[in-house]
Amino acid sequence: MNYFKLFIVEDDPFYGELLKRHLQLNPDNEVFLYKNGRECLDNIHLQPDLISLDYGLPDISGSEVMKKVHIEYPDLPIVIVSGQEDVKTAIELLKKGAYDYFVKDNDTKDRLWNLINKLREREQLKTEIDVLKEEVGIKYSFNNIKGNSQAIKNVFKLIDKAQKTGITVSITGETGTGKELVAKAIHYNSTRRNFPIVAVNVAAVPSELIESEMFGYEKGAFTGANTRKIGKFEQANKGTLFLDEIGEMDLNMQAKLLRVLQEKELTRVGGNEVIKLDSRIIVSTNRNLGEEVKKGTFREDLYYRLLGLPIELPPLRSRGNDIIFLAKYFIDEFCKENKIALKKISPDANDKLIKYSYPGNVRELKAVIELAVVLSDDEEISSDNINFNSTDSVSNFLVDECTLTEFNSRIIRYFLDKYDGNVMLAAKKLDVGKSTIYRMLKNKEL
Amino acid sequence: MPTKQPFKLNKLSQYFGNDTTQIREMLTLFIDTVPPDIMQLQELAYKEQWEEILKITHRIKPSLDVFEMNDILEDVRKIEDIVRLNNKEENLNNYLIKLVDNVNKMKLLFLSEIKKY
Repeated sequence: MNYFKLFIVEDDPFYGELLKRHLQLNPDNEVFLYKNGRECLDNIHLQPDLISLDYGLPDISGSEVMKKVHIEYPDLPIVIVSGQEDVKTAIELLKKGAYDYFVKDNDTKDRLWNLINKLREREQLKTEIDVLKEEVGIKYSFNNIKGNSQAIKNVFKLIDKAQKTGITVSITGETGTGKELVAKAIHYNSTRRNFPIVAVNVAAVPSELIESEMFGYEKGAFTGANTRKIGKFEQANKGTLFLDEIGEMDLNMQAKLLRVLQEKELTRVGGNEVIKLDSRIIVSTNRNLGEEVKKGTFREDLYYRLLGLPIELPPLRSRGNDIIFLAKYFIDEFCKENKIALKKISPDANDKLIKYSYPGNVRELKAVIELAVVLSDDEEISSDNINFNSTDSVSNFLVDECTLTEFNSRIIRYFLDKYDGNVMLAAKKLDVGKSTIYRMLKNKEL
Repeated sequence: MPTKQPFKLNKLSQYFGNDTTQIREMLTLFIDTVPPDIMQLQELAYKEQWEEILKITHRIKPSLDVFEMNDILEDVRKIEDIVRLNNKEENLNNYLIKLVDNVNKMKLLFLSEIKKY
């Protein structure tokens, strides 16, 4: 049982004892009574949860006691309980950091009782939040990004570097490669983990709303602005702002974003107050921003400001054995979650999984596997249980119209990616001479 | 005409309900601490220790209020005002004598009340 430790500092022995005995009616309260400021300060090492302090003490003034306590314990709530019905004194003490000011009357005991309950609830909520934060941190820890391929190991190295500094991170990769997961892994393992990570899907916010969404607005800034709204930038202050699909942001908003990133401050829409910002920026896109700069759809100055540490997430089809590694992981997770017996993957299902191109990447693999577990009737998942929603890998491959030379390049590139750049292995699998691949590499045909 | 009761126990009961032990102990504590404070006032006035008088009056008022000792409270407030404003027109000693008299009457009734618990 956690006791709520309360100090009552009161020079009237009767009144002090009265409050002490009343508040001790709750056995969870541990109440200490001190008759002057010195006794309170001498026992402050006991670390009370609340101090009820009489303003007019015989030795040191309540204001002075509060000041000394707050030097050592700045967050310790101190409520001033006084016979003085002096609003000016009350305001003065509240300005100096008193948690509240109660005038001594018949309601004082109830006010203290309610305050203790409120502080207890606050403490419980704080504990719950800490536990949840820790759980979220574990969920998005480094270890939860799965894979053994060289391609993903390279990503791990970059995530590790990103966690150790506050550098802006730009994550690129096809849809479903886990860009948000990487952003969260960086945040929850960085020094900012105790502050929020706020994710904004730029593509999902209508262009006319994005400014107010990002910067917030003041009451009356425009029709319908009935209350002040805090924007995403402010919400992420001291934490991380994750701008997903940054490539979709229009040029007008890009200019405003650049200004905020340069100045590290913003003004809410319709407001004058300048708000200082200190948040880490992580952006992601499935577009090639360099290309967008060339096309004139993305500002060059913003591109360089956001580039920071670039992390390119490899598509699943180039991660070789990670496909099976992840498939087994998803089977394990799904079976545990649904309390069903663990299933194996048959050799033909294994083969089918390896050959597919996964345009939806890890997200698609997860969906395919979960469906396969549901469809399989015995302890093994057969190839019949594996259903791909998109057309087969050959059709995927033929979506773009290319010359035969370009198709050849693509095939070789695909095998090189799949076997972590191992030319010997790729040549063997394709039954071509290794010199053919080396020649193509030399001629920059790949 | 019946004598007006100089104190009430309603507020104290709100603190402890029907717990007679707590009520008895608190009544005893009150009688052991507050009247001796009041009895000092005459001597302090004689010695012209005005700050000390104000400290005591400030300290005891909430306790007197717990028992709704309104007559005594009125006396205390009057004495406090005279001292604070340094009002030479008023006869402080007369108020102090009246206060002591009221406290003595109250004590007798209070002690008999304690015996009921």
